[in-house]
Amino acid sequence: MPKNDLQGSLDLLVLKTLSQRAKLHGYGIVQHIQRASDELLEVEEGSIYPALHRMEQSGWIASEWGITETNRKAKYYKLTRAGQKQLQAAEESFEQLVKGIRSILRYA
Amino acid sequence: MSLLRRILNLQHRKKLDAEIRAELQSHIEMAVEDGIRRGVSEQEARREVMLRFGNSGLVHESVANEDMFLSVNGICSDVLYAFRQLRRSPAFSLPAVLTLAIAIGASTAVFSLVQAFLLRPLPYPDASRLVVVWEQLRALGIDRFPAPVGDFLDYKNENRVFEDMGAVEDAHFVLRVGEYPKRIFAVRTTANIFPMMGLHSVLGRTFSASENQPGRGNVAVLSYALWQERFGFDRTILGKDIVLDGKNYQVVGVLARAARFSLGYPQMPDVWVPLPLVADPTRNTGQLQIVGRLRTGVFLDRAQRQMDVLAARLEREYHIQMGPHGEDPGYGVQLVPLREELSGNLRKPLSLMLGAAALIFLIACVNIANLMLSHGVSREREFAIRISLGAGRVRLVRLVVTEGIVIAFAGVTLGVGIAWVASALLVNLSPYEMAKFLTVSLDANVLGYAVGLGFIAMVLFGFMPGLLIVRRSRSFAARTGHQVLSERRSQSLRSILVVVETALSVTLVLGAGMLIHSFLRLQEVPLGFKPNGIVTAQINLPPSYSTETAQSEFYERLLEHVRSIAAIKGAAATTMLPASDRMLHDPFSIEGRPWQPFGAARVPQFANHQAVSTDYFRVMKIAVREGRVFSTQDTDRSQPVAMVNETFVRGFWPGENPIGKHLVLGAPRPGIPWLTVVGVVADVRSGGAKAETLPEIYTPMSQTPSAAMALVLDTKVNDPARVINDLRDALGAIDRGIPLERAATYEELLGIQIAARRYQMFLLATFAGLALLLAAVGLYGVVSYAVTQRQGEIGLRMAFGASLQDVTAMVLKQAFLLAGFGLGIGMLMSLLIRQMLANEVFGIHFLDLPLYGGVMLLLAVVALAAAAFPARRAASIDPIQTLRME
Repeated sequence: MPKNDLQGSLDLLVLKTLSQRAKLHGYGIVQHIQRASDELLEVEEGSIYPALHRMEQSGWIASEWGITETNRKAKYYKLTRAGQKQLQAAEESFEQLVKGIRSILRYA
Repeated sequence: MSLLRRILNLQHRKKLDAEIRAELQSHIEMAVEDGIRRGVSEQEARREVMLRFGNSGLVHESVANEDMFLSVNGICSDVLYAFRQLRRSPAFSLPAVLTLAIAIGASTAVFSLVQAFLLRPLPYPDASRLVVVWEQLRALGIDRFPAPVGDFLDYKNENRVFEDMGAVEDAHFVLRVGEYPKRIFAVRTTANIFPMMGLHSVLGRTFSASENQPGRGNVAVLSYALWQERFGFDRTILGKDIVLDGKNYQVVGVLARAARFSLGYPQMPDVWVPLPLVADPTRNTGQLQIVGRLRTGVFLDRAQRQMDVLAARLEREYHIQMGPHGEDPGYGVQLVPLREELSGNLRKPLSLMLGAAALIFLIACVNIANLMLSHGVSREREFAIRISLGAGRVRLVRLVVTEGIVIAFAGVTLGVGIAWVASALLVNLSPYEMAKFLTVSLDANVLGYAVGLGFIAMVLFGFMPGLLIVRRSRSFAARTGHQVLSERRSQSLRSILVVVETALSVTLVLGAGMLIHSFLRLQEVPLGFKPNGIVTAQINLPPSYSTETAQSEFYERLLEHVRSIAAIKGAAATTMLPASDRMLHDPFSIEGRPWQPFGAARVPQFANHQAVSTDYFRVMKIAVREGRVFSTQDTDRSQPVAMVNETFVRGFWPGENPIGKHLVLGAPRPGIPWLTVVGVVADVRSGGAKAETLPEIYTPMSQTPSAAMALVLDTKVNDPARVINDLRDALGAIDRGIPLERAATYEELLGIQIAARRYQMFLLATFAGLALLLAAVGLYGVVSYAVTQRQGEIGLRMAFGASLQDVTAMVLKQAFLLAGFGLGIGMLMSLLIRQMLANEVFGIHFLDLPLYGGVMLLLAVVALAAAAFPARRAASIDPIQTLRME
């Protein structure tokens, strides 16, 4: 179940984050996930960047260089149309996974 | 698409690297800024973020991996790494590559023969539709009988299954060019044979159908070889006459150099002349070999059924009472595909060799699996470390697989080289005359076979142990040094493999041994005459000696001349050289008795007939049992006499005095006199050691002359070349126009008979030797490895007082145990082989004790040789040092 493994979950988190903003850089994505999950989820810097580049190569997100509020050069990512479809599919399959795990926890 | 982009990105690696670095750097700076905002010192914030980042080089690399198709680089580096790794451990890679190369070389070389003789299409247009048509006389046990012209014409004109049908009759002519007469091989053919077999002329033309009409056939086509040899490429030969057997033929064409033609004869015909198509009304004798091309879409069985119908009609009309005694000979027609006709007899020996080669290959595979396993075990630690350092499983598998591919590649390359040399050697040594006719080469199919074998070997026996190791390494990754359990298990797996390997090679050795032993037995069978010291030569009188008197006078005069040669003790002539020429199988009749297939003791009422000169029995040292031998008193004017052998007497006059009894060859018929038996001689194995002894009828040459006879000369000196020269002079003194043929010692003649079998034995012995060698290598590997693994244990034992002998014995015991198991299983399997070879094995007991004993001894020597070196190493272990190492 490649779409339901942990890497799939990281993709889902990144796509969801980007769907709520026009564009965001890597550091911002890490910060957002941490805050939005009440510090429950901690994304490692070592894994977010390979994931971002992979998703970019897959055409789900696009990147451009821009200037931060503190006048720093940073690479910004935004969701593409393919990425929106992917997000939908990822959300559905995540729901399936959660449902499946819940029912096992309840009855097993 | 994304894959393509990643590959393209490889071009911009520098730019991408810079970009990634900038992106990661900006992340770090942002994190530091945040930290400062929260009130931490810049130094502290930087330390924190670096810690979270971990190894920045690693992150950079894995990000780059997402952008570029770095695996391409990875494969190249894997191959390089594998090469380096294999070069660093020659104890593993060298035997693995060599084993594979030898096995692939042997198998491929044999397969190249199979491909040439049995698989590749014959060098004729549409060769798969070419079929040879034979007549059969089933009641007489003859299934390939040449056809008379009348039958051929009926087959050709009345069948609806053949597109075309041609006939060939072989003939020998004496050709005179310059001073020396030369006997040449010629064929008489129908004109359509040339287009049917794709034979083109390089000069002039081939025949037209009208030249097959009687009286019009005085034209000849020369082979390219004869044109070159005898006429020196003389282009003006066209239109000139050549003299064959005293008759003039006008040369109308020369065949192309590439022309090849054989219906089973060993050499290409030198001269082609038209076959006169005159039907003999009785259709009693036939000399034609018929070959036809089936219509497209007609299968052999349908053609056979049609020809059966045709044959049934011809049988009623011509062949119903044509047996020697007016009985039904069981006439029929048999269609044989040309390929089967040419090389069907090679199918069995070739499959035997292919089977032996397959066993070698199997043994080699087991050997490689063994090597891989021990190599893998010794690398378990390396893999464990690599895994704990973060190497992925996929990467490790890729590494192991790459090593396998590199070994396979090296093995196949070297193996093809070996096959190239070996197949040339096989062909040069082979007694198969077809080899001259069908070219043996390493074509695409043969190379494909080699590559296929290499692939099978690596996949089945190379990758699997490797993968096993990787899988196991994962579970051991957590532990550090000792993998006692896995080592013990893999050692027992290796032991099983070595037992299997030994068993297979013992099977092969025993199989080959059975064949070789029965071959030797065959050599020991007394032939009933003494071939040593005897020189033979064949003479065929030209048609100028047409009368029987002229023929017998010629041979009497020649023998007289020959007897005066100093080096010759005795000289005689015969129509048939026993154990060398084809034995005859003629029915005969006994006065006052009806013909029956068998006499007493199931001796068949068919005889081998030989006309001999007076001294024949003395020269050949054939013992006389009763009565007298022929003498000069037996002439064409005296009473017709005969001699018979002991088998004849046993079958037809048991307990009676055979002297004075009457018999005749064929059916008794008016005008043919009964022959009176004057003597009995001992049995001679006329058909060779393996053939059943038939009744023999000898007649004196003076009463039954023949144009073609063989001379047998008992010599005083061991110098056959000189004797043959003297013989040639004696012949020249009588008639310079007669060539001397097939001059050789009798032992050489017998050697030709057994050459095919000897060749097969030689190959089998080679294969058996290879198998033993591989088994020895495998045994050595296991024992030697065990000594390495048990170094500590051995050191401990020695520290506790085990003597050198104890340690040596321990190692030897292991080797002998493994070899013993292999020997036992191999012997059991050899019983199966024995069953399969039942027809090939001759004159040895079911349990061939000398053979089994010999193989046991041989294997003991092999085991000793394989264990000697490891045992010495074990004995030289220094207990102090090994204990310190632990």
